[in-house]
Amino acid sequence: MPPKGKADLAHPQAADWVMGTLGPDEAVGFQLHLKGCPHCQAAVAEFGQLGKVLQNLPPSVEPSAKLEARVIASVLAAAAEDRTPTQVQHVPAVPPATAEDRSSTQVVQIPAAPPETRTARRRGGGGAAKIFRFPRWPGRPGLIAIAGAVAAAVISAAVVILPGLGGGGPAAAFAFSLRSPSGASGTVTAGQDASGSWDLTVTVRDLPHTHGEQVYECWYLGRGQPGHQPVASAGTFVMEDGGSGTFHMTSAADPKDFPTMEIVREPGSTDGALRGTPVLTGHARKL
Amino acid sequence: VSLDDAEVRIAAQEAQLVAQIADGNIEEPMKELYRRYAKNLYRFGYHMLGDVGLAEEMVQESFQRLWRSARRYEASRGSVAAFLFVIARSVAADIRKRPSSRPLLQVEDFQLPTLPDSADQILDGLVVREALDKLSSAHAEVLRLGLVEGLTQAEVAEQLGLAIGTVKSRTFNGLRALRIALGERGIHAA
Repeated sequence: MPPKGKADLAHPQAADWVMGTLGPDEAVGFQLHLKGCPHCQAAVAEFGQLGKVLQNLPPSVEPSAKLEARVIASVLAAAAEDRTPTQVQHVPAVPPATAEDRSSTQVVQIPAAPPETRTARRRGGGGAAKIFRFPRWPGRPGLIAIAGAVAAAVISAAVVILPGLGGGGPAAAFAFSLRSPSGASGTVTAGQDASGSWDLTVTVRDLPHTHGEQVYECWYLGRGQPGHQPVASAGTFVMEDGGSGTFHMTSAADPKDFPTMEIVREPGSTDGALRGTPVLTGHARKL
Repeated sequence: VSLDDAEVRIAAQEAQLVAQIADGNIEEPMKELYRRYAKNLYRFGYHMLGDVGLAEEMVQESFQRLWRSARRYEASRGSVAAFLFVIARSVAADIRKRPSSRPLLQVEDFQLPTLPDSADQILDGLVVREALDKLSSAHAEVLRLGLVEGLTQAEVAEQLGLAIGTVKSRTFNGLRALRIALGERGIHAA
Protein backbone atom coordinates (compact mmCIF):
# COMPACT_ATOMS: atom_id res chain seq x y z
CA MET A 1 0.00 0.00 0.00
CA PRO A 2 1.46 3.39 -0.94
CA PRO A 3 2.33 5.78 1.93
CA LYS A 4 -0.39 8.25 2.87
CA GLY A 5 1.96 11.20 3.30
CA LYS A 6 3.25 13.72 0.75
CA ALA A 7 6.88 13.66 -0.28
CA ASP A 8 7.02 17.43 -0.54
CA LEU A 9 6.23 17.68 3.16
CA ALA A 10 9.01 15.30 4.14
CA HIS A 11 11.85 16.34 6.43
CA PRO A 12 15.09 17.42 4.70
CA GLN A 13 16.77 14.32 6.11
CA ALA A 14 14.59 12.26 3.77
CA ALA A 15 16.38 13.96 0.87
CA ASP A 16 19.70 13.19 2.55
CA TRP A 17 18.67 9.55 2.88
CA VAL A 18 17.76 9.39 -0.81
CA MET A 19 21.04 11.05 -1.83
CA GLY A 20 23.11 8.88 0.48
CA THR A 21 24.61 11.80 2.38
CA LEU A 22 23.60 10.82 5.92
CA GLY A 23 26.33 9.67 8.27
CA PRO A 24 25.95 6.26 9.96
CA ASP A 25 24.52 7.65 13.22
CA GLU A 26 22.19 10.00 11.38
CA ALA A 27 21.02 7.14 9.17
CA VAL A 28 20.08 5.06 12.22
CA GLY A 29 18.20 8.01 13.68
CA PHE A 30 16.40 8.63 10.39
CA GLN A 31 15.31 4.99 10.13
CA LEU A 32 13.66 5.30 13.55
CA HIS A 33 11.98 8.53 12.46
CA LEU A 34 10.86 6.97 9.17
CA LYS A 35 8.65 4.40 10.89
CA GLY A 36 6.39 7.12 12.23
CA CYS A 37 6.51 9.76 9.48
CA PRO A 38 4.22 9.19 6.48
CA HIS A 39 5.67 12.15 4.56
CA CYS A 40 9.23 10.81 4.77
CA GLN A 41 7.90 7.36 3.87
CA ALA A 42 6.34 8.91 0.76
CA ALA A 43 9.64 10.58 -0.18
CA VAL A 44 11.64 7.39 0.26
CA ALA A 45 9.04 5.43 -1.72
CA GLU A 46 9.08 7.97 -4.55
CA PHE A 47 12.81 8.63 -4.82
CA GLY A 48 14.62 5.80 -3.04
CA GLN A 49 15.30 3.62 -6.08
CA LEU A 50 16.41 6.52 -8.26
CA GLY A 51 18.64 7.70 -5.43
CA LYS A 52 20.41 4.33 -5.35
CA VAL A 53 21.00 4.54 -9.09
CA LEU A 54 22.45 8.03 -8.71
CA GLN A 55 24.78 7.00 -5.91
CA ASN A 56 26.58 4.56 -8.22
CA LEU A 57 26.92 6.62 -11.38
CA PRO A 58 30.05 6.86 -13.48
CA PRO A 59 31.76 10.23 -13.04
CA SER A 60 31.39 13.11 -15.47
CA VAL A 61 34.91 13.01 -16.89
CA GLU A 62 36.27 13.36 -20.43
CA PRO A 63 39.09 11.48 -22.17
CA SER A 64 42.04 13.50 -23.42
CA ALA A 65 41.78 14.86 -26.95
CA LYS A 66 44.86 12.89 -27.95
CA LEU A 67 43.39 9.53 -27.08
CA GLU A 68 41.54 9.13 -30.37
CA ALA A 69 44.71 9.32 -32.45
CA ARG A 70 46.43 6.85 -30.14
CA VAL A 71 43.57 4.37 -30.23
CA ILE A 72 43.13 4.49 -33.99
CA ALA A 73 46.88 4.23 -34.59
CA SER A 74 47.17 1.23 -32.30
CA VAL A 75 44.34 -0.60 -34.02
CA LEU A 76 45.80 0.13 -37.45
CA ALA A 77 49.20 -1.09 -36.26
CA ALA A 78 47.71 -4.32 -35.00
CA ALA A 79 45.78 -4.76 -38.25
CA ALA A 80 48.91 -4.13 -40.32
CA GLU A 81 50.82 -6.66 -38.29
CA ASP A 82 48.01 -9.11 -38.73
CA ARG A 83 48.16 -8.77 -42.51
CA THR A 84 51.89 -9.41 -42.59
CA PRO A 85 53.18 -12.65 -41.10
CA THR A 86 55.52 -11.74 -38.29
CA GLN A 87 59.14 -12.34 -39.07
CA VAL A 88 61.19 -12.43 -35.96
CA GLN A 89 64.51 -10.84 -36.72
CA HIS A 90 67.39 -11.94 -34.60
CA VAL A 91 69.10 -8.69 -33.94
CA PRO A 92 72.70 -9.22 -33.02
CA ALA A 93 73.38 -7.97 -29.56
CA VAL A 94 75.38 -4.78 -29.58
CA PRO A 95 78.11 -4.83 -26.98
CA PRO A 96 77.53 -2.53 -24.07
CA ALA A 97 79.27 0.78 -23.98
CA THR A 98 82.85 0.61 -22.91
CA ALA A 99 84.63 2.87 -20.52
CA GLU A 100 86.48 4.32 -23.49
CA ASP A 101 83.20 5.15 -25.19
CA ARG A 102 81.83 6.87 -22.16
CA SER A 103 84.94 8.85 -21.50
CA SER A 104 85.12 10.00 -25.09
CA THR A 105 81.57 11.30 -25.21
CA GLN A 106 81.55 14.96 -26.11
CA VAL A 107 78.60 17.23 -25.98
CA VAL A 108 78.85 20.19 -28.30
CA GLN A 109 76.15 22.74 -29.00
CA ILE A 110 75.27 23.19 -32.65
CA PRO A 111 73.08 26.27 -32.72
CA ALA A 112 71.83 25.86 -36.27
CA ALA A 113 70.03 22.60 -35.73
CA PRO A 114 66.64 22.84 -34.06
CA PRO A 115 65.73 22.55 -31.32
CA GLU A 116 68.94 21.52 -29.66
CA THR A 117 71.67 19.35 -31.06
CA ARG A 118 74.66 17.77 -29.57
CA THR A 119 77.35 15.53 -30.86
CA ALA A 120 78.60 12.51 -29.10
CA ARG A 121 80.55 9.44 -29.93
CA ARG A 122 78.28 6.58 -30.76
CA ARG A 123 79.20 3.35 -29.11
CA GLY A 124 81.38 0.99 -31.11
CA GLY A 125 84.10 3.52 -31.75
CA GLY A 126 84.69 5.50 -34.89
CA GLY A 127 83.65 9.04 -35.62
CA ALA A 128 81.23 11.24 -33.82
CA ALA A 129 77.50 10.89 -34.36
CA LYS A 130 74.93 13.58 -33.82
CA ILE A 131 72.59 13.35 -30.93
CA PHE A 132 69.47 15.35 -31.45
CA ARG A 133 68.15 16.18 -28.05
CA PHE A 134 64.52 17.04 -28.48
CA PRO A 135 62.28 18.03 -25.62
CA ARG A 136 61.10 14.90 -23.96
CA TRP A 137 58.55 13.91 -21.44
CA PRO A 138 59.11 11.08 -19.01
CA GLY A 139 57.14 7.91 -19.45
CA ARG A 140 54.34 7.20 -17.04
CA PRO A 141 55.37 3.86 -15.59
CA GLY A 142 52.51 1.69 -14.64
CA LEU A 143 49.77 4.12 -15.49
CA ILE A 144 49.08 2.63 -18.85
CA ALA A 145 50.76 -0.67 -18.23
CA ILE A 146 49.47 -3.49 -20.31
CA ALA A 147 49.84 -6.99 -19.04
CA GLY A 148 46.76 -8.49 -20.61
CA ALA A 149 47.78 -11.32 -22.83
CA VAL A 150 45.39 -10.21 -25.50
CA ALA A 151 46.74 -6.70 -25.49
CA ALA A 152 50.26 -7.93 -25.74
CA ALA A 153 49.39 -10.29 -28.54
CA VAL A 154 47.50 -7.65 -30.40
CA ILE A 155 50.33 -5.19 -30.24
CA SER A 156 53.29 -7.41 -30.91
CA ALA A 157 53.84 -5.21 -33.85
CA ALA A 158 55.22 -1.97 -34.64
CA VAL A 159 55.69 1.72 -34.71
CA VAL A 160 53.04 3.39 -36.78
CA ILE A 161 53.52 6.87 -37.99
CA LEU A 162 50.49 8.77 -39.11
CA PRO A 163 51.49 12.27 -40.15
CA GLY A 164 47.91 13.11 -41.04
CA LEU A 165 46.49 12.49 -37.60
CA GLY A 166 45.21 15.62 -35.99
CA GLY A 167 45.69 17.58 -39.15
CA GLY A 168 43.08 15.85 -41.24
CA GLY A 169 45.48 14.99 -44.05
CA PRO A 170 46.06 11.60 -45.62
CA ALA A 171 47.63 9.11 -43.24
CA ALA A 172 50.96 7.70 -44.34
CA ALA A 173 51.95 4.85 -42.12
CA PHE A 174 55.07 2.94 -41.27
CA ALA A 175 55.60 -0.02 -39.05
CA PHE A 176 58.59 -0.99 -36.95
CA SER A 177 58.83 -4.43 -35.45
CA LEU A 178 60.73 -4.27 -32.19
CA ARG A 179 62.39 -7.54 -31.37
CA SER A 180 65.15 -8.95 -29.24
CA PRO A 181 66.97 -12.27 -29.19
CA SER A 182 65.97 -12.54 -25.55
CA GLY A 183 62.31 -12.86 -26.49
CA ALA A 184 61.26 -9.38 -25.44
CA SER A 185 59.13 -7.52 -27.95
CA GLY A 186 57.46 -4.19 -28.30
CA THR A 187 55.68 -1.63 -30.36
CA VAL A 188 55.43 2.10 -30.53
CA THR A 189 52.62 4.00 -32.15
CA ALA A 190 53.29 7.56 -33.15
CA GLY A 191 50.83 10.15 -34.37
CA GLN A 192 51.53 13.76 -35.21
CA ASP A 193 49.26 16.27 -33.53
CA ALA A 194 48.18 19.65 -34.85
CA SER A 195 51.21 21.35 -33.32
CA GLY A 196 53.59 19.06 -35.19
CA SER A 197 54.69 17.09 -32.13
CA TRP A 198 54.59 13.32 -32.20
CA ASP A 199 52.61 11.44 -29.60
CA LEU A 200 54.22 8.09 -28.94
CA THR A 201 52.70 5.09 -27.26
CA VAL A 202 55.42 2.62 -26.37
CA THR A 203 54.29 -0.88 -25.50
CA VAL A 204 56.81 -3.48 -24.39
CA ARG A 205 56.64 -7.13 -23.34
CA ASP A 206 58.92 -9.29 -21.26
CA LEU A 207 61.56 -6.69 -20.52
CA PRO A 208 63.82 -7.23 -17.51
CA HIS A 209 63.09 -4.99 -14.55
CA THR A 210 65.10 -1.83 -14.10
CA HIS A 211 67.03 -1.47 -10.88
CA GLY A 212 68.18 1.56 -8.97
CA GLU A 213 68.77 4.50 -11.27
CA GLN A 214 68.42 2.46 -14.45
CA VAL A 215 65.94 3.58 -17.09
CA TYR A 216 64.90 2.36 -20.51
CA GLU A 217 65.44 5.08 -23.10
CA CYS A 218 63.74 5.15 -26.50
CA TRP A 219 66.23 6.21 -29.15
CA TYR A 220 65.46 7.07 -32.74
CA LEU A 221 68.34 6.24 -35.08
CA GLY A 222 68.70 8.25 -38.30
CA ARG A 223 70.24 7.21 -41.58
CA GLY A 224 73.96 6.55 -41.84
CA GLN A 225 76.64 3.98 -41.34
CA PRO A 226 76.20 1.83 -38.24
CA GLY A 227 77.78 3.61 -35.35
CA HIS A 228 77.58 6.96 -37.10
CA GLN A 229 73.84 7.60 -37.37
CA PRO A 230 72.32 10.68 -35.82
CA VAL A 231 70.24 9.63 -32.85
CA ALA A 232 67.39 11.28 -30.95
CA SER A 233 65.91 10.38 -27.64
CA ALA A 234 62.14 10.22 -27.39
CA GLY A 235 61.98 9.65 -23.64
CA THR A 236 62.58 7.21 -20.82
CA PHE A 237 60.61 4.83 -18.66
CA VAL A 238 61.27 2.41 -15.84
CA MET A 239 60.01 -1.12 -15.45
CA GLU A 240 59.47 -1.74 -11.77
CA ASP A 241 56.42 -3.94 -11.78
CA GLY A 242 56.00 -6.72 -14.28
CA GLY A 243 57.91 -6.99 -17.53
CA SER A 244 55.27 -5.42 -19.71
CA GLY A 245 53.83 -1.98 -19.96
CA THR A 246 52.68 0.90 -22.11
CA PHE A 247 54.10 4.41 -21.80
CA HIS A 248 53.27 7.69 -23.44
CA MET A 249 55.84 10.19 -24.67
CA THR A 250 55.91 13.21 -26.92
CA SER A 251 58.77 13.96 -29.26
CA ALA A 252 59.61 16.61 -31.82
CA ALA A 253 61.60 14.08 -33.87
CA ASP A 254 60.05 13.20 -37.22
CA PRO A 255 60.23 9.42 -37.54
CA LYS A 256 60.65 9.72 -41.32
CA ASP A 257 64.14 11.02 -40.65
CA PHE A 258 64.80 8.37 -38.00
CA PRO A 259 63.73 5.06 -39.51
CA THR A 260 65.10 2.84 -36.75
CA MET A 261 64.25 2.66 -33.08
CA GLU A 262 66.20 1.15 -30.25
CA ILE A 263 65.07 0.80 -26.68
CA VAL A 264 68.23 0.95 -24.62
CA ARG A 265 68.77 0.17 -20.96
CA GLU A 266 70.65 3.16 -19.66
CA PRO A 267 72.51 3.25 -16.36
CA GLY A 268 70.54 6.24 -15.16
CA SER A 269 71.05 9.97 -14.78
CA THR A 270 70.88 10.32 -18.56
CA ASP A 271 72.99 13.20 -19.75
CA GLY A 272 72.19 13.20 -23.44
CA ALA A 273 74.52 10.39 -24.48
CA LEU A 274 73.54 6.99 -25.72
CA ARG A 275 75.49 4.73 -23.39
CA GLY A 276 73.63 1.58 -22.53
CA THR A 277 72.70 -1.77 -23.98
CA PRO A 278 69.93 -2.03 -26.57
CA VAL A 279 67.24 -4.50 -25.60
CA LEU A 280 64.80 -3.95 -28.46
CA THR A 281 65.49 -2.91 -32.02
CA GLY A 282 63.29 -2.42 -35.04
CA HIS A 283 63.29 -0.91 -38.52
CA ALA A 284 60.72 1.04 -40.47
CA ARG A 285 58.33 -0.65 -42.83
CA LYS A 286 55.93 1.42 -44.89
CA LEU A 287 52.34 0.24 -44.67
CA VAL B 1 15.00 -0.16 -23.30
CA SER B 2 12.62 -0.02 -26.22
CA LEU B 3 13.91 0.82 -29.66
CA ASP B 4 12.11 3.43 -31.69
CA ASP B 5 12.64 3.97 -35.40
CA ALA B 6 15.64 6.25 -34.91
CA GLU B 7 17.31 3.74 -32.64
CA VAL B 8 16.68 0.95 -35.11
CA ARG B 9 18.33 3.05 -37.83
CA ILE B 10 21.30 3.80 -35.60
CA ALA B 11 21.64 0.15 -34.63
CA ALA B 12 21.64 -0.90 -38.28
CA GLN B 13 24.17 1.80 -39.16
CA GLU B 14 26.51 0.75 -36.38
CA ALA B 15 26.18 -2.91 -37.32
CA GLN B 16 27.27 -1.86 -40.81
CA LEU B 17 30.30 -0.05 -39.35
CA VAL B 18 31.34 -3.22 -37.54
CA ALA B 19 30.84 -5.22 -40.74
CA GLN B 20 33.17 -2.81 -42.57
CA ILE B 21 35.78 -3.25 -39.87
CA ALA B 22 35.46 -7.02 -40.19
CA ASP B 23 36.07 -6.64 -43.93
CA GLY B 24 39.32 -4.78 -43.32
CA ASN B 25 38.04 -1.25 -43.90
CA ILE B 26 39.07 -0.20 -40.42
CA GLU B 27 40.03 3.42 -40.05
CA GLU B 28 36.91 5.47 -40.77
CA PRO B 29 34.36 3.09 -39.20
CA MET B 30 36.57 2.78 -36.13
CA LYS B 31 36.86 6.57 -35.86
CA GLU B 32 33.09 6.88 -36.08
CA LEU B 33 32.53 4.32 -33.33
CA TYR B 34 35.23 5.95 -31.24
CA ARG B 35 33.50 9.33 -31.49
CA ARG B 36 30.19 7.80 -30.47
CA TYR B 37 31.37 5.72 -27.57
CA ALA B 38 34.80 6.77 -26.31
CA LYS B 39 33.49 9.28 -23.79
CA ASN B 40 31.14 6.81 -22.15
CA LEU B 41 33.70 4.01 -22.32
CA TYR B 42 36.18 6.31 -20.61
CA ARG B 43 33.68 7.28 -17.91
CA PHE B 44 32.92 3.64 -17.30
CA GLY B 45 36.63 2.85 -17.18
CA TYR B 46 37.36 5.64 -14.75
CA HIS B 47 34.48 4.56 -12.54
CA MET B 48 35.63 0.93 -12.52
CA LEU B 49 39.38 1.52 -12.28
CA GLY B 50 39.73 4.80 -10.40
CA ASP B 51 42.61 6.05 -12.54
CA VAL B 52 42.67 8.15 -15.70
CA GLY B 53 45.61 6.26 -17.22
CA LEU B 54 44.00 2.88 -16.67
CA ALA B 55 40.73 4.24 -18.03
CA GLU B 56 42.49 5.31 -21.24
CA GLU B 57 44.16 1.92 -21.46
CA MET B 58 40.77 0.26 -21.09
CA VAL B 59 39.38 2.37 -23.93
CA GLN B 60 42.31 1.54 -26.20
CA GLU B 61 42.18 -2.16 -25.43
CA SER B 62 38.39 -2.23 -25.88
CA PHE B 63 38.69 -0.90 -29.44
CA GLN B 64 41.51 -3.34 -30.12
CA ARG B 65 39.28 -6.20 -29.04
CA LEU B 66 36.36 -4.76 -31.02
CA TRP B 67 38.51 -4.98 -34.13
CA ARG B 68 39.61 -8.50 -33.24
CA SER B 69 36.03 -9.60 -32.57
CA ALA B 70 34.29 -7.75 -35.40
CA ARG B 71 33.75 -10.91 -37.43
CA ARG B 72 31.96 -12.53 -34.52
CA TYR B 73 29.48 -9.71 -34.05
CA GLU B 74 25.86 -10.67 -34.82
CA ALA B 75 23.37 -7.82 -34.91
CA SER B 76 20.54 -10.21 -34.06
CA ARG B 77 22.08 -10.85 -30.65
CA GLY B 78 22.38 -7.24 -29.51
CA SER B 79 23.44 -3.72 -30.35
CA VAL B 80 26.99 -2.64 -31.12
CA ALA B 81 26.87 -0.57 -27.94
CA ALA B 82 26.07 -3.65 -25.86
CA PHE B 83 28.78 -5.63 -27.69
CA LEU B 84 31.33 -2.90 -27.02
CA PHE B 85 30.45 -2.53 -23.35
CA VAL B 86 30.58 -6.29 -22.80
CA ILE B 87 34.12 -6.07 -24.19
CA ALA B 88 34.89 -3.07 -21.98
CA ARG B 89 33.64 -4.85 -18.89
CA SER B 90 35.92 -7.77 -19.68
CA VAL B 91 38.90 -5.46 -20.24
CA ALA B 92 38.21 -3.64 -16.97
CA ALA B 93 38.03 -6.97 -15.14
CA ASP B 94 41.39 -7.99 -16.64
CA ILE B 95 43.03 -4.73 -15.62
CA ARG B 96 41.64 -4.98 -12.08
CA LYS B 97 43.15 -8.45 -11.71
CA ARG B 98 46.57 -7.18 -12.63
CA PRO B 99 48.87 -6.63 -9.68
CA SER B 100 50.51 -3.62 -11.30
CA SER B 101 47.25 -1.66 -11.25
CA ARG B 102 46.82 -1.89 -7.48
CA PRO B 103 49.55 0.43 -6.24
CA LEU B 104 48.11 3.16 -8.42
CA LEU B 105 45.13 3.63 -6.16
CA GLN B 106 45.74 6.80 -4.28
CA VAL B 107 43.90 5.79 -1.15
CA GLU B 108 44.94 2.50 0.36
CA ASP B 109 41.50 1.45 1.45
CA PHE B 110 39.81 2.82 -1.67
CA GLN B 111 37.08 0.42 -2.73
CA LEU B 112 36.43 0.06 -6.42
CA PRO B 113 32.78 -0.33 -7.33
CA THR B 114 31.41 -3.75 -8.13
CA LEU B 115 31.58 -4.58 -11.82
CA PRO B 116 28.12 -4.40 -13.36
CA ASP B 117 26.52 -7.72 -14.25
CA SER B 118 25.63 -6.76 -17.79
CA ALA B 119 26.20 -4.28 -20.57
CA ASP B 120 22.63 -3.05 -20.12
CA GLN B 121 23.42 -2.10 -16.54
CA ILE B 122 26.46 -0.13 -17.72
CA LEU B 123 24.53 1.58 -20.49
CA ASP B 124 21.68 2.51 -18.17
CA GLY B 125 24.14 4.11 -15.75
CA LEU B 126 25.70 6.10 -18.57
CA VAL B 127 22.33 7.26 -19.85
CA VAL B 128 21.41 8.41 -16.33
CA ARG B 129 24.69 10.31 -16.13
CA GLU B 130 23.97 12.05 -19.44
CA ALA B 131 20.44 12.92 -18.36
CA LEU B 132 21.75 14.28 -15.07
CA ASP B 133 24.23 16.48 -16.93
CA LYS B 134 21.36 18.00 -18.94
CA LEU B 135 19.17 19.04 -16.02
CA SER B 136 18.52 22.73 -15.41
CA SER B 137 21.29 24.41 -13.49
CA ALA B 138 19.22 24.95 -10.33
CA HIS B 139 18.32 21.26 -10.12
CA ALA B 140 21.69 20.01 -11.27
CA GLU B 141 23.55 22.11 -8.72
CA VAL B 142 21.83 20.73 -5.63
CA LEU B 143 22.03 17.17 -6.96
CA ARG B 144 25.70 17.57 -7.84
CA LEU B 145 26.60 18.96 -4.42
CA GLY B 146 24.92 15.98 -2.81
CA LEU B 147 26.12 13.24 -5.16
CA VAL B 148 29.61 14.49 -5.97
CA GLU B 149 30.54 16.57 -2.94
CA GLY B 150 28.56 14.46 -0.46
CA LEU B 151 26.98 17.52 1.16
CA THR B 152 23.85 17.19 3.25
CA GLN B 153 20.81 19.33 2.57
CA ALA B 154 21.81 21.64 5.44
CA GLU B 155 25.35 21.99 4.06
CA VAL B 156 24.07 22.68 0.55
CA ALA B 157 21.73 25.32 1.97
CA GLU B 158 24.61 26.99 3.77
CA GLN B 159 26.87 26.88 0.73
CA LEU B 160 24.26 28.32 -1.63
CA GLY B 161 22.70 30.73 0.86
CA LEU B 162 19.28 29.15 0.48
CA ALA B 163 16.66 28.01 2.95
CA ILE B 164 16.92 24.30 3.64
CA GLY B 165 13.32 23.84 2.52
CA THR B 166 14.23 25.34 -0.88
CA VAL B 167 17.14 22.94 -1.22
CA LYS B 168 14.88 20.00 -0.40
CA SER B 169 12.30 21.15 -2.96
CA ARG B 170 14.96 21.56 -5.64
CA THR B 171 16.33 18.13 -4.82
CA PHE B 172 12.95 16.42 -5.15
CA ASN B 173 11.96 18.43 -8.24
CA GLY B 174 15.35 17.67 -9.79
CA LEU B 175 14.78 13.97 -9.20
CA ARG B 176 11.34 14.21 -10.77
CA ALA B 177 12.76 16.00 -13.82
CA LEU B 178 15.44 13.36 -14.07
CA ARG B 179 12.87 10.57 -13.96
CA ILE B 180 10.96 12.17 -16.83
CA ALA B 181 14.17 12.61 -18.85
CA LEU B 182 15.07 8.97 -18.28
CA GLY B 183 11.60 7.87 -19.32
CA GLU B 184 12.11 9.67 -22.61
CA ARG B 185 15.30 7.65 -23.04
CA GLY B 186 13.53 4.36 -22.34
CA ILE B 187 14.73 3.93 -18.77
CA HIS B 188 12.06 3.70 -16.12
CA ALA B 189 13.43 4.14 -12.63
CA ALA B 190 10.62 3.72 -10.10
